[in-house]
Formats: sequence, structure tokens, C-alpha cells
Amino acid sequence: MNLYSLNTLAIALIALGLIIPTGAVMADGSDKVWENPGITLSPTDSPNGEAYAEIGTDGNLTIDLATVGVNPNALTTIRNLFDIANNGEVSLEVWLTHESAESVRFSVSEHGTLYGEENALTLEPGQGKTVDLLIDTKGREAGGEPLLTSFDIHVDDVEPTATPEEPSSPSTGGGGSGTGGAPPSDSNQTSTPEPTPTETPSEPDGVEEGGVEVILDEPTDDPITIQEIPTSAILDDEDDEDDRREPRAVISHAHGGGDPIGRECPCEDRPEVQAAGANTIVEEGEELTLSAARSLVGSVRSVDPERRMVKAVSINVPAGREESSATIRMRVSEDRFEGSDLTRPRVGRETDDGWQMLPTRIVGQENGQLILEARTPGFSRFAVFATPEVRYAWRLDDETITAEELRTRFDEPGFHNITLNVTDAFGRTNTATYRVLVNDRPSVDIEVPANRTAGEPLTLRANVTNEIGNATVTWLFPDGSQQEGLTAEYAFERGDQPIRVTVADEYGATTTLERTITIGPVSATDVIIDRIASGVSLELALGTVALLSFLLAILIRRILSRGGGPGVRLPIPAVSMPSIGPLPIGGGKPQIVALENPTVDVDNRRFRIGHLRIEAPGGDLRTVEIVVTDGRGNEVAQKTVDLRGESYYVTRNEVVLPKSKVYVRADQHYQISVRAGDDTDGWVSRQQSPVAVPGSVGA
Amino acid sequence: MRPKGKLFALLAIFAAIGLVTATGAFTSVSAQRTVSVDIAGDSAALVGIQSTSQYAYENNGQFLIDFSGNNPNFPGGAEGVNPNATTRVDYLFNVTNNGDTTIDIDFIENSQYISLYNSSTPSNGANVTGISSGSTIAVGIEVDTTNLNEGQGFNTTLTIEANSQ
Repeated sequence: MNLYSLNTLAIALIALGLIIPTGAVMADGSDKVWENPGITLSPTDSPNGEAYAEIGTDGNLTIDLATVGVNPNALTTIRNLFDIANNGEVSLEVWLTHESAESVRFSVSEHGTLYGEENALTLEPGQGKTVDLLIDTKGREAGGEPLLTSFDIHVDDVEPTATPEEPSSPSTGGGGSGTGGAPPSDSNQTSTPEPTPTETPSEPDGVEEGGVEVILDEPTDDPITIQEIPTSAILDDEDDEDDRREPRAVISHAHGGGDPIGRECPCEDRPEVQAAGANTIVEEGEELTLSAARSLVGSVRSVDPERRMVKAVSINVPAGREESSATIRMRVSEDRFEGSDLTRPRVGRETDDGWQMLPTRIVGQENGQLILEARTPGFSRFAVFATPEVRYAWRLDDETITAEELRTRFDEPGFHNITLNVTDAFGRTNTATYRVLVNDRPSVDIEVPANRTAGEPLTLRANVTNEIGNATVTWLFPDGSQQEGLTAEYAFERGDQPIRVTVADEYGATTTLERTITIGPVSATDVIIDRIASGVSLELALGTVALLSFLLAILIRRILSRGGGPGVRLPIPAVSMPSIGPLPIGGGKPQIVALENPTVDVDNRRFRIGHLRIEAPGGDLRTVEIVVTDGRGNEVAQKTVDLRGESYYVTRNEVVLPKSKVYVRADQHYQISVRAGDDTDGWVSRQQSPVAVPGSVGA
Repeated sequence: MRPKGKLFALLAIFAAIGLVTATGAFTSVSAQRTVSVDIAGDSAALVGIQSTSQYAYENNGQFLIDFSGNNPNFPGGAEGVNPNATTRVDYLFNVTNNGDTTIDIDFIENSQYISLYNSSTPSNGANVTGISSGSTIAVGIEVDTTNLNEGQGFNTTLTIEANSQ
């Protein structure tokens, strides 16, 4: 053996060593994720494991719920999907992460979710567990982006166990949270919370057996008192009058994001939202989450005709915090549900006006107990309902969605109405409407004159398209100075000069455009003078001037000869030249061919033009501006349409929305002005007074 | 000198293997695996729900039973079912097992006004066990408005629970 062959052997052995831990195809049909630590994944020997999990040709576990997708607005649980095993020699902690924590949950029976290091599963050497998959598509439609494409599996050593401490008190509070360790019985038990600032009860495991945990959004150091009460205490306090109370639908804006049950949003109080006459403002394509959690039904019987509650607690927070939003977690023995559908329990909150059914989800299931998590807008008495019959139906555009929470996006700017229909167990309904203003993001193009001379003021124009809201244009010039307005004037130095234009509308949508303008001797006259001054051939310069004059003379002669009518004839010499084809004689500036039926729609707070047609015979249309002024000449509405290369612009029922804080009145005199420009810098404008009409006309 | 070079090379080999395959402590490791989850329309999803009558249709991929004037397929400009009556519609929709495992299907009517039944065997209710992959059952509905008057309506949800055996 020589040194060369030893190197070959070394490379071969090292390569082999690298391949083994990265998931080769194993003879036993498992995905050996790591040789060290010894973690393997394999489809569970079950119908679901065989149907939806497999070891691919790369030796890796693959889960396929895309070939046949899951149902929309549904809860799909795939039990016994794959096994995870520790084949190593030390105890390991295993957990998963992925990008759809709000909709997809991998879990192990008697442990709960595997998501995140905080929910790590400990596997002893030789131990294996079966993983279930739960997919929650409630409020989601079919199609669109895949719900999940991959997950990450993480493994860590089990940290050495610290010296055992005394068991903690069964009830705690403070630091913005509290847990009550009431046993699963109907006996009353009062918890006197003690501040435990070092405790982190934010995980399901922090809920003591049979207990309740409260996590305020805004923490407090003051104690929280949690008391389990008999359900009869609630039932005894209700009477026929409560049963007769009608349901009340209430819509509130919740922020979805990573929080699957939503948090209340203060954005409805923004002055610009109120001024626009909307409940909220979102941008095109932005996700909007609405919650029905603040809706009310009259009584326990309105929730469930059988008045079935499996647990009731009273939670008292410090004075002044009764209307604070929080997360509540409760452990409830599965025995109390007596075989009913465990996916249906809801936590209800008792208020003076009835019951709020809170967004509730199951975050754990272990030792015969469910761990429920609910979001509440305030505190009082709470009950867990096993079979609630309160229903929520959202309607937007022509679509109906049955869910407690609505997540949607709008692509069309303007106002959109969303209705929520709440039906109680008696079949009584109530409807609320939520008005969403979908704001478009402004777009801008910069119009720069062809003739640009260094040191001379240059007028720039911003062509802005912004259908919703009043936009402000801010110019930033090379010397750091700023100007506001659709036009700006600035004397540039010679060379490439950067400018920046920012368009911001009153609802917060902004667009920024950066552009470099080249300033130099671009006019023919400037070129010639520059060349003469720099000593270039005088003959060449004079020749160029003569040639340009000659071509200009031909152009003027042709124009005059096409005119056909009487006029002044310039003494243009008749020149015989070879034909150079038709000269580019333009067809003139843009024309507003039709501006018909302008109206003021007072009920719907908008202006309309029934028929608008603009043509550009001499070039391509670039911009159409519509401005509405009131009787005093104040601009009350404005719309700019940015066009690219169209020879005409025609619309029916063109809508122009008024600026915020502008009240459209039937007795006010308005004037609609339409202005259009083409790429030859030709402009035309026309005015007309609109007529006030009822909202239904032209709507 | 040549034999000394060989010895050094062998030591280097075993040191390299030891680094890769040793069973000593590690900090933490992670790996990525593929899981593909798509949301299909109700008609093509794991539990396939297909309308077989004009009283049900799919809206944005979601199955809907609609006995109101909002139903674009509703016959003759009708705006609902009769008050104080019982209305039965056979073969309202089909449920198909599009999955690869045999399933049992339970229908949970969350309303006192409706009940579902298997159109093939109406007396047995709607719940069916042992639906093999690719098999279909036909479902009918009974709407009971005995306690409802004209103009009263209700919205409800229907839970279809499919469990593999």
C-alpha cells in the first residue's frame, strides 16, 4: 500500500462516516435522522401511517396530505401517522418547529403538542412514541398557498435534573398571571394566590391538575383569585327573562398573525378610520381578522338547550382590571364530557348582558384531562360548555363562511361590508355589519421635460395614482432640500442627479420612487454652441445649422400645404430632393370626447362620471386627472389615473371618492374637472357640474 | 522515511472517523423533513362532499346547503321552505371517501330543525360505517319547520366526522 492508496481509503471512510448520520435508506424502513443522537422516524404501522407517510428514495420521512388535500373549514386529525424513536444511549429531548403553528399541530398522546422547545418530548433510550397530526382549517378556503411544506425536527440532550424542590402551591398569582389548582370536583375551593415572579406559567403544563391559569396581556403584580364554583350557582341565578334575551352580534377587529385565536385591536379608534366612515382600514392584500368573540347570547339555555356545563369558575382580578384582555387555560377532566364530541367545548364568559362564547382551542390532552385555552376580553364568571349551539356566519361579497373568526383579504380598493350573523340555540338571530375601507397603495411616475439645462429651474411633475384617500407628494433633491406638491421646481447641476419622490396617503400607505435625471447640454442649440466654443470646426457647426434649417423649412411647407385654406405663405424655396417619406406630423393634443352624466351620490358619499372618453390622436395618453371642487373652489376629491401607452381612455360610471372629513351634500355646488395629458406633453381639460342624485342611481 | 508517512496517514484516517461517529455528547441538532398539506375544495378533499341537487353547492371550495333565496340555483324564485312543515330532499349530496383508509362517517346536525339520512336506507339515519377508499354514500335531508313561522330562518353548521377504522 502506498500513500496514494491510503488517501483514497481515508476519503472513502470519511465519506461513509458522513453519509450514515444524514439519513440513508435504511433496511428497516425508517428515516435514521441522526446516527448520533440515535433518532429515527418511521411511518406508524397503521392505516394512516401506510396511507400518508412514507420513507422516500432519499431515506427521509415524507408526509403527503397534498395529493388529496384536507377539507376547508374543518378539523382533520390523522392519528398514528409516524413513530419517533430514540435508539441512542442517552435520554433526548425532541421537538418540532414549522411555519403553520396556528393551523397544524404534531402531537403525542399523553404529552400534547411537540411544537417548540418548550414542549419538547423526552425520549429515554430505546423509547418510541407515535405522533398524531391535527390540521385546523377553520376559516380557511380551499386552494391558495400550501398550508405546510416542511417541518424541522430538533434534538437536544436532556439537561441534568436539579435538586428536587418542594411542590409549588396549588394556587398562584402575580406577575400578570395566576393559576388555581382546584381539584376536579364540584366542591368549592378558594385559591389565595401568592406572587411567584419566577414562575413562567405560559405553557399548558403550567396549569395545575384540575386548575385554571390566567395570563393577562398587561401583567400585574397584584393577586388574582380563582375559585371553582358549582355550575348550579350559575343556573340558579338565571331566569326566564334571561332566556328571552335576543342574541347580539358584535364584530371586533382581531390581529391574527401567529396568534390563532386573535387579540383585540385598538385600530378601530384611529381618528382617520372614524373620519373615513369605516370600522377599520386595511391595505390591498393585507390579511384582516375579525372576531365574533364579543357577541352575546342571552342565557345558558341560549348556549345549550340542555344547559350542560362541565365546569364553572369565578376569576377575580385586581380592581380596575375587570375589562382587561387575557388568556385563560383550564384543565377539565374528559370524564365530565361523557362521550360528547371533544372538539366542540367552548369557554363562555358571563356578562351583565348575557354570555360571550370565547375563542377556545384545545392545547393539551393528557392523563384523561383536556387543557382548554380561551381568549377573554374581561373577567367575571366563566363556564365550559360541552355542546354549545351558538353559531356564527360571516357574509362578505357573495360568500358565506361559518366560523367564530374570519380571516380574509381584499384585492379591490374601496368600501366592503362584512356581516356577522349570530344564531343562538333557540334559532334566534342577530346581524352586525362591519365596514372595511380597503386602501390602495399609491403609485407614482415622474414626468421630466426633455430640455434640461444645468442651472436653470426645471419643473418636474409627479403622476400619482391613488384611488383612496388624499395623497401627499414629497420631493427630495440632491442638496437635501424638500418640496411638497404634484409639481416641483429645481435647478440641477450638470451630470446625473438623483431625486426621490415619496407619496403618502392619509391612511398610511406610502410609495417611494427614486430616479436619476441626467442634466446636460441636450438641446440642439446648446450642442452647437458648446462645440463652437470648444474650437470644433466652425464649418461643421454651420453646416449642421443649415441642415436643420432646411429640414425645418420642409416641415413648415408641408404643414401649410396640408392646411388647404388661405393663410400666410412663407417664402420657402422650392427644393427638389429625393423622397424621405411622410413626415411625422402629429394629430394634435388629447381630446375629451365624452364627459357625460356627472353626478353627486350623497348616500354613498362619492362622485361619479357616467361616461368618460378621452382620445390622444397625437400620442399616447399618460395621465388622466379628475378633480372635484366645491362652490368655494376648495378641492374636495381628486383622482389620478396613470396610463402607459394607451391611445384612448374610456370608462363607465367612473367613481371619485371624496377626501376624508369632506361631507358630500346635495345642496352644495360642485364642479368636476377632467385633465388629460399625453406623451408629447399635450394637455386638455374640461369642466362640468355634477347633479345630485339618490344613492341608488348609478350605484 | 516513507513508512513514517504511512503511519501518520492511518492515524489521520481514524481520527477523522472518530470525529464523525463518536457517541459522545452533542449540543443540539436539527433536520428538515417534507410534509405537504394543501387545502382542497370540499368535492376533492379527503372527505369528498359533492352536491347532487340544486339545494346544495360549493362556494369558494366550501360545501353549502342553501334553502333560501340566496341560492342561485333555487327553483322558480322560491325563497325558502314552507313554514310549519316537514320538507324532505332525497339525494341532496354525496360523501366520498377520497382517502386511502376505510372510514366511518358520523353526521352531527347542530340544529333541532334538520336531520340527515342515508338516501339508500332512510330509516337507518345518515351515519355509515366501513366506507372503503373511493366509495360514496348518498345523503338526504329533512327540514322540520314545525315551530317556525313565515319569515323566520336559521343558519347552522353541519359537522361531518370521518374516522378511519
